[in-house]
Amino acid sequence: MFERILYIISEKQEEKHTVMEFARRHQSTVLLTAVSPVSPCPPPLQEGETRQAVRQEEHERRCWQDIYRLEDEFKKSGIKSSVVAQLGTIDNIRFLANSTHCDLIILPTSVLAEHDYRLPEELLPNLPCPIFFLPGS
Amino acid sequence: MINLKDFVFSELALDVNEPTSAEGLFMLVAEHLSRHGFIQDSKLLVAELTTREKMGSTGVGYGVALPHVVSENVQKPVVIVTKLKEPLNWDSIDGEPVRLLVFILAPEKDRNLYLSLLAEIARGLNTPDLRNAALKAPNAQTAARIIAQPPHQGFFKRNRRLFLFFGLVGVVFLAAHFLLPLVQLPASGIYQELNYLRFNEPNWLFKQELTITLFLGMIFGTLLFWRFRVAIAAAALGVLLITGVMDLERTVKFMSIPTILFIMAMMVIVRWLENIGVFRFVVVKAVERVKGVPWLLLLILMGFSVLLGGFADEVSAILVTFGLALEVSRRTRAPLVPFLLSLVFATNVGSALTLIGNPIGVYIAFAGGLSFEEFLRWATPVSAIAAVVIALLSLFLYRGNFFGFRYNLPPQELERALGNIDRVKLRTGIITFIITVVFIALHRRLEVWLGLGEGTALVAVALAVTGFIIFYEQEKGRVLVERGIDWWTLLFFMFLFANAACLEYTGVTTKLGYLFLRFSEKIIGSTGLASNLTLPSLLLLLWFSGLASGFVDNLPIVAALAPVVKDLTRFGLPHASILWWALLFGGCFGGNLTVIGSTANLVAVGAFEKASGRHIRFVEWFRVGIIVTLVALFIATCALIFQIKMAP
Repeated sequence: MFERILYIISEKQEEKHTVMEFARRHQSTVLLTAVSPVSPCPPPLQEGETRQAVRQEEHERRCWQDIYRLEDEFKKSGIKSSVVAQLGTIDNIRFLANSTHCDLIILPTSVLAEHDYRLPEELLPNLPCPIFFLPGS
Repeated sequence: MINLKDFVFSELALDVNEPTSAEGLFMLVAEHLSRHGFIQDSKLLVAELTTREKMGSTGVGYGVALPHVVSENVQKPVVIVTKLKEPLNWDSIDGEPVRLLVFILAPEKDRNLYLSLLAEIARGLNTPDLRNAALKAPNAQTAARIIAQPPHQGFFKRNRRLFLFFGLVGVVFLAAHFLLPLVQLPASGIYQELNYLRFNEPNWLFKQELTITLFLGMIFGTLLFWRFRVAIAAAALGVLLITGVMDLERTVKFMSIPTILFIMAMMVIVRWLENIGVFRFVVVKAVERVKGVPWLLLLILMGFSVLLGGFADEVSAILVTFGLALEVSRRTRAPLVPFLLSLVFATNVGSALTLIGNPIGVYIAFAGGLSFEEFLRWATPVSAIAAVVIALLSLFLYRGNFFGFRYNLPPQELERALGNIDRVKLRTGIITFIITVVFIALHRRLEVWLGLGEGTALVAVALAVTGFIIFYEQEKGRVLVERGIDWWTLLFFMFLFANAACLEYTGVTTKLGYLFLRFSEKIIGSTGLASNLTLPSLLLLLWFSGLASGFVDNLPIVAALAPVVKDLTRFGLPHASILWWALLFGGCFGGNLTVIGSTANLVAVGAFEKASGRHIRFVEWFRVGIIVTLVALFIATCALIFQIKMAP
């Protein structure tokens, strides 16, 4: 039913087993990506631009490592998976969904924690496919 | 952090000049690595890479793939960059064939290092600058060097746009400083009567230098730093005030508050109609009737782009029609670019249909004291003819995309695009829209009948309808005003109008008008105002504003040229009112020339990029835009020349 699932990974990936199970049942290809690559804790006020940029870089690096680690795990479990070339923000979900032609988006709610569990106002009405919110364990 | 230079060996990079398959490429890379002692068994590596690829493509989009594998067959971590002369289909996420492949291989014991390598390379290639540099590299070795050590951008390269901006501003100031004293208004005739000779005096010359520098600086600034256009316009206005070129009273007057009020009220009305689904409803109902015939669908969408562009606003028009084209394309996989360009062209041409379609029209109406009915007489027929020709031209240019087949578009699929529409609100919306257009169309008669000043009824009708909508929507009314009005753009308009009016106040536009006349005289080889200089002035205005509007936002061009038209009218040029229409058509039709030509273009391209994940290149737009613009301007030229004698 869902040929291509866009899975937006969370920081702790607590939901990965549910996604694996779901993808296995539907024989889906999982497209892995991450959004909002911002530092999980707010930067100190006195932090300069350079330090902030370094933290951002480190966070992005961790994100990519997590994505490729998960891709490895999915493939080892016999689930087809690919990595989407870009990290975006919450606002980019629609763009990612459109450009990947996915049939379902899986979004762990913990991804929204940094946004006070709110989605951008215009996101839901304009999504090209269903979105599945997964709570963290 | 790992150092990529230790793993990406440029001497190992591989250029593949012959067409090949995925397996053929894997074999080539495996044998290459085997020769250099990185792997033990090349056939095993090919099998491993192939198996992994079957479990999900490693094509990450944009023509790049990152095949990667952890294997005991690999002796030590290595990254090998491969460039293909013939792009290869890799089943990538975005469907683009790959041209650049970065293989990342490592033994099992270095799994963590392997993940770090993957993350580092993926992070780097996620940056458009680096990815494009690697893709455009002349060979694989250069691409490998770029990936291993991204080129450092120096201070000047990083800030080149800022230097360009200050350079241009400096050039303009010097040019104004040396050229303006050379343009002396003659001490006779109309210039003496209107007391324009003061513009030849040194203190006014300084004001002119400053005003023209700041105005052109504002245009360059908005071109180079679009995000900061309000800041740039505000700063320019601040300088005019602090240097005493303008005082506060004049600044407020020059902001053209009636124009701003009208645009603001129309923004609320149009946003409300859009929110309650009036435009979507009408367009979907019409599209349902075309039964999947592609060319008919395009014509219907273009027709609505023209009508909404003329009677609502260009942004709403393109959002509604292109939004539906996106739906159609999603369901039928129809290419989006022909829809994008055709609908934008129609919207821009249609925005000249009436007074309310485009801020340019509103500005010209207030500056020239023109009524809605005059727009119907002078602008609507030309705009409609141009729209029909552009529609046929678009069909011809994209004939391969719209003929010889049908889309599979069941009506229920299109109905889904409507979402949940409240039918009572829809009816109210349609009735309100019709009443608004009728009253706006009759504003001049109302003004005469009630003894009101020019433009008063226009603003009054828009404000009254806005009031009704806020009242009707109750608590949502506040949200509509807060979010429905593009305050950012309105502020920009206010600052822009004040800056442009300062050109008139300091005499820059008077001198420009004088030069215009001198140039026109040269064209027709006669002297004096008695002879008909209207025709060359018309041609100059239409084509200059048309071509300039393609490269600069069209409103600043129109705002700067409107006072010139005012002056030409004051100078007693026969049939001078036709020049307002030349300015309108130039501004609206010229917007089709480039991707930055009008707001509708930028909005549509934004939606296109979000939906398709690809960019529209300048040339891709320009090669079609130039044809459409020239044709539209030619139609306007013929129509205006034909009617020149009928103009007051």
